[in-house]
Amino acid sequence: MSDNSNALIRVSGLKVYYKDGAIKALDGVDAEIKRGEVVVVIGPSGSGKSTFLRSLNLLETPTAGTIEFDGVNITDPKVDINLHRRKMGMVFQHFNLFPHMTILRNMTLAPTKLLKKSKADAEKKAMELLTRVGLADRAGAYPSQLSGGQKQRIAIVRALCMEPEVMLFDEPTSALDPEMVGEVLSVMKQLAAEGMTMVVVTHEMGFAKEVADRVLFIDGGKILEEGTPKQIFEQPQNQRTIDFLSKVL
Amino acid sequence: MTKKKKILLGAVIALVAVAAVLVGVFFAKSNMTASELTVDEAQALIDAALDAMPGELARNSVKYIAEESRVTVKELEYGVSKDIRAACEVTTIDAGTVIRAHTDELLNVDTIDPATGIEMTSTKLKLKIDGKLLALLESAEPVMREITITLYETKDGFVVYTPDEVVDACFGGVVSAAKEVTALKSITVDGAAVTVNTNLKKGLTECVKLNYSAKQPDVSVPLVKWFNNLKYDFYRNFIQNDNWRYITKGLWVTVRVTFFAVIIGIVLGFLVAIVRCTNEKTGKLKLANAICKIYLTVLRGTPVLVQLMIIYFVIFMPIGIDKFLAAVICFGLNSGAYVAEIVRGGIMSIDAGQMEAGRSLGFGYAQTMLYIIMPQTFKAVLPALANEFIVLLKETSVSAYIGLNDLARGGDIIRGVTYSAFMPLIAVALVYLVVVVFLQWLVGKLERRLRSNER
Repeated sequence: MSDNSNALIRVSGLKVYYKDGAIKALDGVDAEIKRGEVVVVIGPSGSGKSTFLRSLNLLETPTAGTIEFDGVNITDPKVDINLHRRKMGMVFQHFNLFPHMTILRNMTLAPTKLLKKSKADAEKKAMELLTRVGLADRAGAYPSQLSGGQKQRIAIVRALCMEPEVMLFDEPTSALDPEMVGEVLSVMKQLAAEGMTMVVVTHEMGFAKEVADRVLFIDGGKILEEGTPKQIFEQPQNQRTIDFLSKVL
Repeated sequence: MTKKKKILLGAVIALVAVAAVLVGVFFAKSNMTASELTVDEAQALIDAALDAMPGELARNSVKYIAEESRVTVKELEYGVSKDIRAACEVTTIDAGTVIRAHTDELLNVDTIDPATGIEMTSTKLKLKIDGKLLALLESAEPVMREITITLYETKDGFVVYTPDEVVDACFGGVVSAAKEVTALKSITVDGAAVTVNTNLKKGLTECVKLNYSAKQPDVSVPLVKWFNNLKYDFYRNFIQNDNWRYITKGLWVTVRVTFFAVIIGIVLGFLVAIVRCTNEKTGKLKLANAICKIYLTVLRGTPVLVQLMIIYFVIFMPIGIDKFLAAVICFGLNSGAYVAEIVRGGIMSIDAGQMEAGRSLGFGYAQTMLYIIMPQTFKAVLPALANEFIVLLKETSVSAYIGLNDLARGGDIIRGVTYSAFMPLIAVALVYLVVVVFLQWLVGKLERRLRSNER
């Protein structure tokens, strides 16, 4: 553990079992995510890649193994996970915006309630972010008034309002109409360019090739292969990786 | 048919009905003046009516008054309800004054039994009074008065309306004098007060008895009669003795019981629902969940009436807590059970992603519930909740069973006083209906307001 200062998340021996071990969603995963790194997780559906991502902020409860975030073992029951989740932004496949609040309120709720920011400060920050994603004019709208792409962009900036140290993306473009995928990916690219640490579960191989520093291939609850996009996409070693890529590329 | 068309049709039917009633009343009114009558005809009718009054029952004394009395019709005036008012001049003897002045003598008791105070047979007494009264009347002064006698045209022709005051005027004040004698409790005999028994008084009143009806002749057209009856019924049930206050006071009790029960129901219902959902999702709060389950089973498994009687008669009455509080607590507990299930369904219907989104931002379970899940739940369950409270408002009417004077009981009290079921019960039903419709309107408004946010 010589490069401790550089690792933001360190996962070791992570297992997530359901139904008393009958279903092994994750079966011993070790991984490390460094600060400023963009890690893309790929794999067939049901491979456990979403479970892996969701375990990182304990939305899934690990059966065994540890997850260290910023040097703290967050799987320890004595740790207040809520404090650490504030620093881990998450974007969901189905956006999960709060339908009963305006866009602005969606974004300022957590900063005002949890970080005790003043309303004015929180709104200023939210408007900055909205301007960056080109949705400043929709601040007063409700989620149901937006398109899927707009909703997902809002979901991203909602997470950013908490000024997280890492952003977790759980198939952020899978529920979108094809013409809206681009607008979401461009926001994510921009974010990566600014140096945000990101873990992205996606089927967008183009995005992985272009933006990822590292690609993880997960299948059967295990990381079967990892490397730079060039290595994974051009010279995959594992047979399962080769099979998978031959189907999606 | 669309909703709008239905409302329109209803409005048209209501309008036609109102118009029909108005036309009916107008038609009845326009047909209500009496046929023409000459002064002589009126005179003959009045004479015949007055002549018939002494009848067989009357003693000589009244026959004497009748002979000495003369009613002369001066002028006729036509009214608007089949009536003719005849201005008359009456000449009679002042019999009333005579009777009042000589009551003690007329009721003279000549054999006083030392044991009972009075001993006399009524027959003997009457005859004796008769003779004395006649003598007094013969010496009385004649008087002259002016009165109005009303004639009504009924289905069977003209009828002279003879209320007490007309008869009194025509027969020298005997009617009111007789009434005063009847009310007497004692007379003075040889300077000593003697209690008067009924037989004695009967003696005099029978001497001056007249055979007449003080009831106003029935000239009404059926529709008008029905309307008048309704009016009278209304008066009797609500205006008389301020009976309407049973309704308003009852409504106030019903509204208060419902209001406080709703508050208890909401608080309890939401708490129970949250406990149940938390247990279902996280497996925590096992004991609280078990208690909640028992509460739900018992409260939803027994009739509210039985619950109310148990709470009041078994628990509260022995320790002296009043009915109002018993009703509030009972209906609060009862409604809480139903609210809990409604809210639980509402919470379950919220997408699991909402909880995850809240938690991923760093909110705790309780905070996510408070800021994200509950506001959405509330909106989702509002129609069902409103329905529950409307049911509750109506259900409070069973609190009459523990003697609480609520709205339903108010109507029942009036029914008990006036023995008329229609008016008070319809009134109570109408009041409930108005309150419920008002609440529904209010909830609809609130719902639209909440929903417009998301469009």
